[in-house]
Amino acid sequence: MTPAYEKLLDALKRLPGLGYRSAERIALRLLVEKPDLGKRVRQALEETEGCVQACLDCGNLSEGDLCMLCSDESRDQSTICVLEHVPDLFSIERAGVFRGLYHVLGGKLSPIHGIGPDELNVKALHRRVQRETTKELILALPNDVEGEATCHYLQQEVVGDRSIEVSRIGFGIPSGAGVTYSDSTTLRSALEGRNSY
Amino acid sequence: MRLGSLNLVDYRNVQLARLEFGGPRVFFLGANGQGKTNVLESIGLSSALRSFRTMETRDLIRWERPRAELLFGFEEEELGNAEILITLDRSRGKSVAVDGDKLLRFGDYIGRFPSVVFSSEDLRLSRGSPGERRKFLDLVFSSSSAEYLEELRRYYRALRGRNALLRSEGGDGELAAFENEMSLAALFLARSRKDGVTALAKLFANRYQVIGRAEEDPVLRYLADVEINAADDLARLLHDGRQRDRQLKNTSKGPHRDDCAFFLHGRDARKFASEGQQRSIALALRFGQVDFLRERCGTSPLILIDDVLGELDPERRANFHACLGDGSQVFATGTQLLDEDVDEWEVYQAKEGHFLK
Repeated sequence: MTPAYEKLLDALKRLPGLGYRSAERIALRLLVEKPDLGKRVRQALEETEGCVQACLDCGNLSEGDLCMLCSDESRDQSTICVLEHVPDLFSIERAGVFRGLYHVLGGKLSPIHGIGPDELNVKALHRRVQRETTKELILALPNDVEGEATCHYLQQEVVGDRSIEVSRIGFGIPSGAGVTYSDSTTLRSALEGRNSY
Repeated sequence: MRLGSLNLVDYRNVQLARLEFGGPRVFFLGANGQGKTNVLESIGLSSALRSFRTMETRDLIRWERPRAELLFGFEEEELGNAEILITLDRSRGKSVAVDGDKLLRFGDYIGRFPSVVFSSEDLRLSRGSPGERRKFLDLVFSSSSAEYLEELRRYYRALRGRNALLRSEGGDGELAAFENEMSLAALFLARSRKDGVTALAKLFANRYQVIGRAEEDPVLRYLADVEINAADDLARLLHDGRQRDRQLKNTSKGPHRDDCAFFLHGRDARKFASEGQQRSIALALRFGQVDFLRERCGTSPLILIDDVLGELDPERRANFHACLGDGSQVFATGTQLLDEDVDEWEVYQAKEGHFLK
């Protein structure tokens, strides 16, 4: 253990999801076991610094003003899927189930934590719903109190009287899972959100 | 349902205890501070997964030990035996395993092993603040319905959001968003409380007739702060009261201000009932809770009596015994046991965290 090593460990521990043991493993891997990997990580961090930012339209990661998805004209420009975080967007993109545009809020309304509309990426959404091309907003925010309140806020304050269809993603039983092992909250959502067949 | 065995490790002042319960009535006898109530509290933990004395998990773990373990052996009428392991860890918090399977959601567990605590503080139910009675009603309804507990949490979370907005002078749009959430949960709470208190009131009155005097015409009534019949009723009220609430920096109306009241001879018991009548109300209400949980959960709750028997006069004690009946398994504590009662109880002597039969 050296002062420089301790400093690295301390910095790594501050990353989300890393405890002492994981930080230690990563530090040893970068310094001793795979020094080349350490070099690559350093380079990648330096390259991304000042280069990767939030897309001015949707809040996704981007290397220019607009992200790759917003610049892709082959995507359906009429539908915007509203999400809480960037990883939510990655999940939907990886699944390949949606060909419209996204909007990342960067959180949800949470007065207890001092998060209001000004702390979220709401102004850009305001601009986007004013465009004639926008026909539908899919609210893919979580269904906890803050998520639902945020949906209500967006519908009332952002969409307002505009003739834009607002929809909410479904909540219920995960695909491949059965009814038996679902908890009561999930079952209730699943029954309330049932479709005609 | 009955509790056949209880093992405690590093729980409060109990280093290690292995208790077996053969009969329907168990008495923990001993001087104050020996650990009687700790055992009762641990049994209560098996039904609510939280203590009836403290919110802090850490308080339940023995001094300077990393974790406490509680192992319950339940015998259920139809389901056979069930083994519940509750682990209270200083750093990891609380975890529960049913027959070796870790419980992922506490909501799924609610109502399976119900229990009712009788304590000397129950007098506060009739005499205390509305908050005490609300807490009682919420506890009764939450312990028999996971949905009630969920909607209650939802309501209070949205309420905290609205209050934070009132303090930080948030915009009307944000207020409306949280008022809408409160309003949806409020409709469920209002309906459940109305139906629940109606059912509970009947059971309470029946029990009061045995414990107190029948001719006193005991009545329990739900006092809703606001009338809620539709999903947007509360939202409209909150919207109209925003100016006042902004000044108060607090939400002044809603189910979080509900109350209930007791009446004897048509008069408010809080003001007019004697000491003895207050005691009868508290006991009848707890027995009403027993009956309510039996109806809703489909099994007889455990009855936990913390140092209450010694406070009763001979007539009430006799009535109390009559009320206990045979349905529920009873666990009681006390500093003394009357000679006439000795045969009824399986007695454990409590001394410094040890229990001897």
